[in-house]
Amino acid sequence: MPETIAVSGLDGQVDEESILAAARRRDAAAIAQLYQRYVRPIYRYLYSRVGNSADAEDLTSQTFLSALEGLPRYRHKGRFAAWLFTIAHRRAMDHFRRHRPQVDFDDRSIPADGPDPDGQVIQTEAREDLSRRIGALSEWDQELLRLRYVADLSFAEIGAVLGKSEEAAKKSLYRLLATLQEKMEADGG
Amino acid sequence: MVAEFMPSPELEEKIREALAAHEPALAFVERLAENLGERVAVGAPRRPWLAARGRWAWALGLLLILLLAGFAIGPANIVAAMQRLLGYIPGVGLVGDSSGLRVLAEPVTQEREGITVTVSQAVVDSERTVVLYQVEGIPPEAYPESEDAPFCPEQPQLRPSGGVPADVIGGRGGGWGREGLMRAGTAEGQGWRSGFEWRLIYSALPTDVNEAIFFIPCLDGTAPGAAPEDWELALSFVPAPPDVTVVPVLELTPSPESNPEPGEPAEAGLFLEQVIELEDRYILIGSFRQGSSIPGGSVWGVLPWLDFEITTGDGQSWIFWPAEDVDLPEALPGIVPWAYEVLKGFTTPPLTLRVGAIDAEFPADVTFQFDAGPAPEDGQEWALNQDFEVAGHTVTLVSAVLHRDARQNGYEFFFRSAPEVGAISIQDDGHMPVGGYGGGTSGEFSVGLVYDGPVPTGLLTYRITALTARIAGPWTLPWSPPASSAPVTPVVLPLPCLTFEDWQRAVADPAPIPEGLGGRLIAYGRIIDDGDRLSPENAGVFVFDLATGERQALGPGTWPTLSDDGRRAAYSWSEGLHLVDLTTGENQIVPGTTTNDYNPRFSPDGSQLAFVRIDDLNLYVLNLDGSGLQRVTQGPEYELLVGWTADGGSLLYGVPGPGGISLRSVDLLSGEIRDILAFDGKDAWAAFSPDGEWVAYLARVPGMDYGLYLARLDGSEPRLLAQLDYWGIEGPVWSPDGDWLLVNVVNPDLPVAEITPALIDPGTCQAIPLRGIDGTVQDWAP
Repeated sequence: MPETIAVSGLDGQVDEESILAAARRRDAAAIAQLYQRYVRPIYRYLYSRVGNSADAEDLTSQTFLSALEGLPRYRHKGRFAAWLFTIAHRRAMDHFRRHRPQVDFDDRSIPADGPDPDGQVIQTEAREDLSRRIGALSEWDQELLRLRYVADLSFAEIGAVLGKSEEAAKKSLYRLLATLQEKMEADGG
Repeated sequence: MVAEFMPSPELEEKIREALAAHEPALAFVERLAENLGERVAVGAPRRPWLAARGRWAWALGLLLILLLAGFAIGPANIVAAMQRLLGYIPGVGLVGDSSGLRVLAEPVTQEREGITVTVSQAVVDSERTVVLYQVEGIPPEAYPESEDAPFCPEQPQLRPSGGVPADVIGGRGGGWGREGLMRAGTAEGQGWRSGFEWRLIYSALPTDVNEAIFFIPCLDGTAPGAAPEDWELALSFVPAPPDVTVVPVLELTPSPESNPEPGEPAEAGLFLEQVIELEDRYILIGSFRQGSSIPGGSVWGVLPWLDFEITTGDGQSWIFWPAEDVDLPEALPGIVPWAYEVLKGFTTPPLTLRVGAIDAEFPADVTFQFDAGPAPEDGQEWALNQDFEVAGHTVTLVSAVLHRDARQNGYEFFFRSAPEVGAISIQDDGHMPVGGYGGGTSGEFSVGLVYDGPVPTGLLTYRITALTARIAGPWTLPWSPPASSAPVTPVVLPLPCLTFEDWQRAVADPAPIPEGLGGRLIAYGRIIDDGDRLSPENAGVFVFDLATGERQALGPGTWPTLSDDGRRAAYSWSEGLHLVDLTTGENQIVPGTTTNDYNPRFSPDGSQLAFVRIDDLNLYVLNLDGSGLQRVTQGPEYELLVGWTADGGSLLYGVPGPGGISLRSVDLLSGEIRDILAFDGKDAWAAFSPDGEWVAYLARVPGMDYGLYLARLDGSEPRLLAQLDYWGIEGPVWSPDGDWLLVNVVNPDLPVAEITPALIDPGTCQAIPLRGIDGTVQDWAP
């Protein structure tokens, strides 16, 4: 599959609208470009939901296959990422309806960084503590964090995935972060 | 007001690390890229009229249809309409170009331990493999004993020979599969079912692979190890023969309104995007798009079936129903897909598609507090009466109730608002509930939060995050069939004798009960007047004298019935079947019966009871003293007892299956089973007239909800007696003299569904609502 196509737009940046138009005509190069742009964020997002690579790969495949099938009916309005992540979000929901979670949040190994052994322990414990706090959040709040910090979506895109306005998505996330920070500070974290 | 909070980069980085985002393996990325590339290459569009040799006649006919259709939709759009031509196979759904289509060489069946699995149909196109399979003969003991027990959630795999399993893309199923648990003594639940049917969609088999194994790890919904597992059915695929019906799909170019230029407002509306013409119907596929017409709100999900109607050019309601085998595209906020099958035969086009109203969700951010106190008790209620402005609507928080049980461990909040408000979402940011639920109706609804562990106490703060409101339309879309459509015989719609409008008039101005009409009714309903909603705590069995209005409560119980002479009653409850002498009031348990026995029916001479036993879902008969217990039916089918024949020699019962309900009789001496009547019903709501010549039953009316039919036992002379739109009709009962039918009319629009028993004259269709009963009538005796 070709890696990229050159589609010029403003300031030389790739114009996603043009790529989408080509992709809807089943242009292989355009489809490849969309794929390369989104396969990693989609995988990361799905991995953060299911916690293992086998299921994340399976769901990523399903997401792109569904997207390929639905592409001709997609009407571009600048929210392709939201559309694609909505598909991934639904595939994950279907997955959880069929399976119990495979991985306990606490069991995930979290790599530490830095040469200081004590520092490494402290860092790991801090991360584990935050991981536990995140794991105790409602599914809705966890989804907010995943879409923002794993999938790197904008607030507008998050709103589109979750059916909210951009402002509501931003407010919801900031309130959540404020609450998390407050709790960590109260507990000495 | 909370001060504006800005997360620090350090906090955000910590969260990224804590979420431990993993990168995909390079091998996977490359493999998936290759897979997608193959699909793109295989699915490249071809002009159908230059398709494989030997298909000129089909292709030319198709071209002719498209050209003629072009005059209907506009020549300028014909090119766009041809750009992506799909086909449709009934039962399978939409398929890609018919060239290259492969089908199952022949159905494949396997039987193990009395259970039969059949792959009846499978189709492969360039993008998908669609598999239809059925399972029959699952015994009730193969299902879990409770809703919380483990059950098989696995989906079957399609394993191409020499390759990896195909990806599951989608699927839909159901029918008569597992729907829940029935326990004697409860007023809820549905019975076990003996089979089901699924339509599954996988990624396309490679073009050079024509053999695959359909692998079923376990049968859907069954308990682990309770039914045969690891089924392997070998499927062979062959090129679709010329006689395979692939109906072309006309894809319409969306109107400019549906794809506005950025920055321009767009009105909401219905759009038609694809049309499929079959012999007796059309399939119309489209979407509802809100455009910019609902500021701040988003429509979402699937178009409400109840708010959609189709009328002909002369204003007559026309028959349509959801297209079950058309997979709707992924929905986007603001765009709601729909697909309906529309019966042909209307004489006055155009058809007008109409959506009366649609639900939209509006984000909100309103907090409220209430003080639960330091030690609230289970069932404690707080009157709050707080008003909020949420997304432009006034919402009143009426009260809160604390529940402490496994399913509702937390607070339930009751709200009241204008009728267009249907629901709100609330969050507890401080205590992390693990789930939630909601219910009610427009204008009155509740929202509950469920906590894992101790329920929070003290001063509690909650946040309303969204509100769902109904937006009134209507939005309409006229459509005329292509001029090329073959003429069909005009269809005369079944018109009910008693309509919803007739019922409303009868309720508004009820006629008196005919003079001389009396007898005893037995019902399930309220027996304790505690002012609370109807619940197992205040409901049970009672007898109602139709002439005097007197009520005689018999006690907690369900499935009540009367002997033909009206002297005895029987019903189901704990410890077994209850037998009541209505003259003395003596109430005893029938020996040999248990809490698992339900739906008792007296023999015509009153000496025996027939009933259903949950253990094996078979029919049993015994004497009133408990002697002579006899199992009447065998096998895994789920029998729904209707009654006895007038001579007492046979039982009448219904069996659910893929086509609906089959009414049958079984001879008590010989065991011979005879088919009586089959209809598209969801339960054996049927009653045989006292003279044994007629049967009243509830069946689906084409294009509508369920209606009350009356027919002779051989199915001849069917009449649609009553159809009350989306209001329910339950449990027909004949009067002892056979002159009247009694049904229970269900009004679903209230917070708690209201049930009104009513008399219906089968000859004139006059309806007479019966007041003061407060229950569901299930039998009538002199």
